[in-house]
Parts: sequence; C-alpha cells; structure tokens
Amino acid sequence: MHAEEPLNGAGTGAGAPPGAGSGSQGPGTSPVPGWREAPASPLPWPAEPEAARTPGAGAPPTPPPPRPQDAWLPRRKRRRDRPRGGFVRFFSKQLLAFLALAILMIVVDFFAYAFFAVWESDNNYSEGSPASLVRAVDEGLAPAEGGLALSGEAADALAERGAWAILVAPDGTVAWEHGAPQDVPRAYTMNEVAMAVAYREVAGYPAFVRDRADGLLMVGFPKGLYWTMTFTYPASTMRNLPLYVLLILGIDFLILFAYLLHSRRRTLRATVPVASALEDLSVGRPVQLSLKGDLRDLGRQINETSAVIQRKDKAREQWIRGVSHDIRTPLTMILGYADGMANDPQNPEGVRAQAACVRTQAVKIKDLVLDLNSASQLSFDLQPLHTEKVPLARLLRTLVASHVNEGGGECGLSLSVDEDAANACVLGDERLLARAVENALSNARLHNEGGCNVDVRLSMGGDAPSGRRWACIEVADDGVGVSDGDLAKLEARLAAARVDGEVREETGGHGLGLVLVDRIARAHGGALALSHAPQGGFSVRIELPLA
Amino acid sequence: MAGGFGMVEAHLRKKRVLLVDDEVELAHMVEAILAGSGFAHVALAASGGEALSLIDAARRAKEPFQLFVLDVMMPGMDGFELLSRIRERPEHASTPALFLTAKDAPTDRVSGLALGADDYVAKPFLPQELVLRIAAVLRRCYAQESPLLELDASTVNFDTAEVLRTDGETAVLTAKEHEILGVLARNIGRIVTIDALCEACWGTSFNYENSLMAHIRRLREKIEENPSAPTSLVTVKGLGYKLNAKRQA
Repeated sequence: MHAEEPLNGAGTGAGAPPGAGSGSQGPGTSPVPGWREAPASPLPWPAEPEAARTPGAGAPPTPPPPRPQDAWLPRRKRRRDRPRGGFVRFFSKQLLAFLALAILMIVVDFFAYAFFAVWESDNNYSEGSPASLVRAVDEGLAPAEGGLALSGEAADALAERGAWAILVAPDGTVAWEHGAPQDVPRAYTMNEVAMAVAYREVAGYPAFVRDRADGLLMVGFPKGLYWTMTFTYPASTMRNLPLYVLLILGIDFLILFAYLLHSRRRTLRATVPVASALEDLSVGRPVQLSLKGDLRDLGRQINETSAVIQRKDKAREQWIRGVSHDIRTPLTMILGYADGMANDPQNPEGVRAQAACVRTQAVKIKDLVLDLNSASQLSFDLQPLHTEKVPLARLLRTLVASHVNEGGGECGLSLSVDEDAANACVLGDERLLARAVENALSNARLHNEGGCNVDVRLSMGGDAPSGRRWACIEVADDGVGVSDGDLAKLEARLAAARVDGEVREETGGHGLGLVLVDRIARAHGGALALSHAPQGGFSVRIELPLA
Repeated sequence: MAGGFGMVEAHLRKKRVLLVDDEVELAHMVEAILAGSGFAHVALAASGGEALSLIDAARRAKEPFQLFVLDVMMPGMDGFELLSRIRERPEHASTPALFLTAKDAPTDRVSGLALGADDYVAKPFLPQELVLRIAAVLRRCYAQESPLLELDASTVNFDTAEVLRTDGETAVLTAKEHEILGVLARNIGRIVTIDALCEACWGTSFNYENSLMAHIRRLREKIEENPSAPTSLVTVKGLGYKLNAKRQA
C-alpha cells in the first residue's frame, strides 16, 4: 500500500504553487494560476477618449498614450484650470454691461427730469413765474394823478393769479395797495420787511418783492401756493457738493454692480456642474447633483435622469450576465461530447472530423460569451476593476507557456522579452490584460486555420521629446495577413466602437475580440495599434503606460 | 469517452474521485471524460446532502475519497458550503478539492481558495483541460508512488536527494536543486515558467533569474550526460524550462 497522505499543504489552498505546469489553460477559461488577489481599488478611467489612431505599416506609434498621471486625475480638478483665465474676461464683460446700463439710466433720468420740468412748468408756470408777475405789476404801476395807478393788464394778471400787491414806502407804511387782504399789515418795521423778504412770506402769504425808486413793491399770493426754502452754505461746501453727489452716486452704482456680478457669477457657477454632469451622463456614468437656489429643480431632474439610465444599464448588464451564465453549462456539454466523439478511435473518420468541427465552433462560442461578459462589464462600468501592479513579462510567459503546454493547434508560438522590458510593470487588472493578449492570440489562430507562427514580443517604447515611456506587447503572425483596405476598415470599426462607448458585436470578419482588446488597452491608459507584421502576416500591438 | 490523455500517471488514475453536480447530464459527461482518461473510481452525487452521505459511507468502508470535484452553483447547499462541511471531517481536512463553476468573478475564486479548494475550473471547459487540471492537483498533493525519476542519463531519488548517473557516479542535490527538480518533475513534459520556478524556491521571481540559471546549470552538470547539450532539462527560449521523461528506446 502506498502512502496516501497529501504531500504538502494542499488543504490550505491559498496560494497553490503557481506555474504553467499546474494546469493547462483553455483560452481564457480561468484566471492564470498564481494570481495574487488585489485590494479592490477601482481603476479611475482616463477622462478624454483618445483620438483614433492612424495605422501605418510599421510606423512608430502616434500619438502616444496619455500620461499615466493624467489618467488618475479626477475630472473636476482638470476642468477647474480653465475658468481662472476666464474670470478676467467675465469681470470685464459684466463691467461693460453695467456701465452701459448706468449710462442708459443717466440719459433716461435726464430726459425724465426734463420732461417733468417742462410738464410742471406747463402746469404751474403757464401763467408765468412769480418773478414775471412782479415785474409785470412793477411795470404797470405808474404815477398818476392823486398817487399811483395800476394798468389794466397788470390788474388782470393779479386777479388771474388771485394775487395782491402793496407798495411799502421808505418809512415803512403802505403807500399803495391793490386787493390786499385784511390781515396783511399796513405798516412795517425794517426788521419785519427784512424777514418778509428773507422768508418770502408776509402774514402767511407767499410774497415776492421788487425794488422801486419809490419803495418796495410786494406781490402776495394765496396761502400755500408756494413753498420757499432758503439755504446758505459755506462756499467750500458748495464747491464740494458736486463731488459729494458724484461720490454717493458712485457708491450706489458700486453696490448695484457688486450685486449684479455676484448674482451672475452664482448662476454661471451653477451651470458648470450641470455641464459636466451632462457629459458624465453621455458616457453612462452615474450623476448626483446638489444645486441650490433657482437651479434646484434642474439638478433634481438631472439626478432622476441619471437614476433612470443607471437602472436601465444595470438591467441590461444583469441580463447579459444571466444569459452568459446560463449558456455555460449547455456549452460545456457540447464541448465535452464533441471532444469525446472527435477523439474516439472507434468513430469513422468523417464523424470524427465533424465532431472536431463542432468542438471548434463551441470553443468560438465560449470565447464570444466570455468576451461579451468582459465587454459588458467594461462598458457599463458597473464593476470596478481590481488593480494591482502586474509584471508583464511574467504574465506573458505564463500565458504562452500554458498555450504551448496545451499543445494541439497548428500555430507555433514563441515569446521574446526585450532586456529593458524584463521588469516592466503595468498598473491594472491582470485578468483583463490576460484576456486582451488571449484575444490577440485567438485572432491570429482564427484567421490562420492553415497554421502559422505567432511571435509574442514584449518591448519598451519611448517618446524622446516628452520623456514618456510605455510597454509594448506585440502579437505578430506570419500568416495570411490582411489587405490595406481591410486594415483601414478594421481601424474604422474600432474608431466607431470607441465613439459609441459601447462594445457591440460586429458581423463578419473581425469580431468582438479586437474591439475588446482596444477597450481593455484604453481602460489601462494605453492604446491598440494594428498593422502588417514584418514577417508577413498581421500584427496587434498593445501599448500600456508603465506603473 | 476515449481520449489521448496519456499524461495522467497510473498511480493518479487509481485515486477515488467524488463528483458533485446538480446537473445530472453534466455529471455523467464528466464521469465519462474521467473514465475515458483511465480514472477507475468515480462516484457521483447530485446534491450536498447526497455527497456527504456518500463520503461518510466511503469512510466507513475504509476507502475514503481522495479527490472532490464540486460544482459551485447548486440549489440548497452550494459548493462552498459543501466544502467547508467536508473539511470539518478530520480525515478530509486536506483532501484536494476542485471547483467547477459557471461564474467568473474573482471574488468566487478568493472564496474558493480561502475555503481550501486547490483549483477552480470555469465552465465551459474542454475535457482535456479538466483532466489535466485534475491530474495537476492530484500530482501536487500525492507524492509520486515511487520516489525515483528516470532520466536519459541518470536516475533521481527524491527521497534521498541523490542522483545516480548511468556512468556510475553519484551526486547529491542541494535543497534548492531538489526543489527545482521537484517542480519540473511534477510537471514533467510541460514548460514551467521562470517565474513559477523562482516563486517555488524563493517566493518571488524578482531578481532571482540569475540565481535560477546558476542552479539549473549545476543541475545539468549532475543529471545530464552533456551539460552543454541537455536532453532532459531543456531550456524553452523566452519561457522557462522543461523536464523530458526518459526517451523510450
């Protein structure tokens, strides 16, 4: 009896000895052995979609992928850089607008004052001002026999206005009168005259005086018709008065302007989050706005829209996941029995060939299902990617070794790692990176059913002027290759898929596989380049920024 | 089902396997695959409860199971729970176990490994993959029945760490050489990456590549007829190393 005890800590499980030999890999069926589980920190997305790359047979990569540090900047922070220059522009725009408003106000005021002045004077001065009446009376009062007599027109004018007139002689007595009421004094002291003139008022009646050779002519008006205010200020104050007026006016304007500025700025500020929220919505990200004031309703509406979109996306993703899950068991059965039938020596040759065909197609479906799952995760952004530092050389060696160990397949496979790329590390999701390389390999296999040689190469790329460096994984075959026209079409499809933001299956020719590689590359801040391989076939180059 | 699965050693094929999956047709297919590869003792269970009673019955019959292949998604008791129940039994605390699952999420893998599973195969799988995985798990867990490894120019005794060359000379393996050769032998005929070898010896592949090369060189001096033209311990360019079994004359 042989010892049946397990040798080492097989039961402890965690960290089973890694190695390509611990088990062969089906293309993309399960994680590469030896994976360490990463802390679940989400990989921030690079904000701007890269411009579509132009293919060139063996041309150096243009443009290089965005700086790794840019990929991690939260979007808001980058956007804030712009308004700083814009504040000056905003301020001067508001100032000009306000000045125009002020000038308009002044002009309107002027015209309003003018209008009211004319209107009032029309109303109240149509018959002439008190001064003109006094003048008229003065001119109409002439010496006649027995004293002084008033002309007919002057008397009419007085009567029209309800006014009266008296002439105060130098000795203070009233030398002549016309229509003066009883309570108007007929004798005045010098003081009383002075006061009457100063206050323009006699016994409660508004009175206006005129100097004559024979005395002081005084014309009185009905009580309450006129209101007099006399003022005397130091000359210096009068000189400063215009300045004071201007100053106070200026302060008023300043207050108004400040308020205008503040209010406009607040509105503008509120629209910035709205604009970026809308942009987030357009790429399918969830949005949560909290706007104050007038825009509160708008914010609420946008949040609701975001919630609706999220629900739809989630439902869709769950549906895809459900489907891809349910497919797996039936597919396992198809694969299993087809494989068995293909390998059964007792089956006739024709049956074995057909079974082998069924198996191949089932493997294609399997790859498609896995791609669909990864693609839906990527595009709906619902599952944060697990990020860790991934040493690329190790990843590639493990992948390629397991493919070679699996054997079978008509494609020869080899790996070469440039010396300077031996320690290249990328910050990302190891599973997705492996998937990308697997897809590139499957692509080569799919299009070269007659067999070919596939070379995988890891090298470093650099852009001397900017000092950027990146790692480049190239999967090149020497198979049938692709025509220039087809290459261009492929690039166009990739570009369209990028803009769409979704990964949709394309019919015919190159399928989901390469679109997913592109997506994964970009999710890591890198890029995908397709071209003719130097050895004659097709080349897929995945460029990734270094960790 | 017949299949070219000659990769599974005889002593491994004799292990008693319990396969638990609620989908009966799938279970039958896997049973057929395993039978086609030469596994003689495969039992089926359709639920966790049935599995546990079979396990207990086998133990009472003094023929406990030596490998569990468990489906994860089962109604009632799922694969994870079943495994933890199995592990409660002292004689199965370290029996190798392998999960079959339709889910692909990394969290499942972590739970699976944390619970003491040795590997994880995602559906759909090619039968060949499953068999190779099972073989790898068994190989890792169960020592080679014979500690002797026959190579072209020498025979290695893993118990004593001695190398008996065909030209009569003997050599002794150092601890690291023993480890390296052990990993290669467990994966005989398949490429083992540099990373896997370094990690087995030192826990990390960073900066140990030169040390590895040195050990390999010394190993070749001990086991090869011509160390500069190795036939057993060959280098696979860009990937790693491979140990070839003795060429049959």
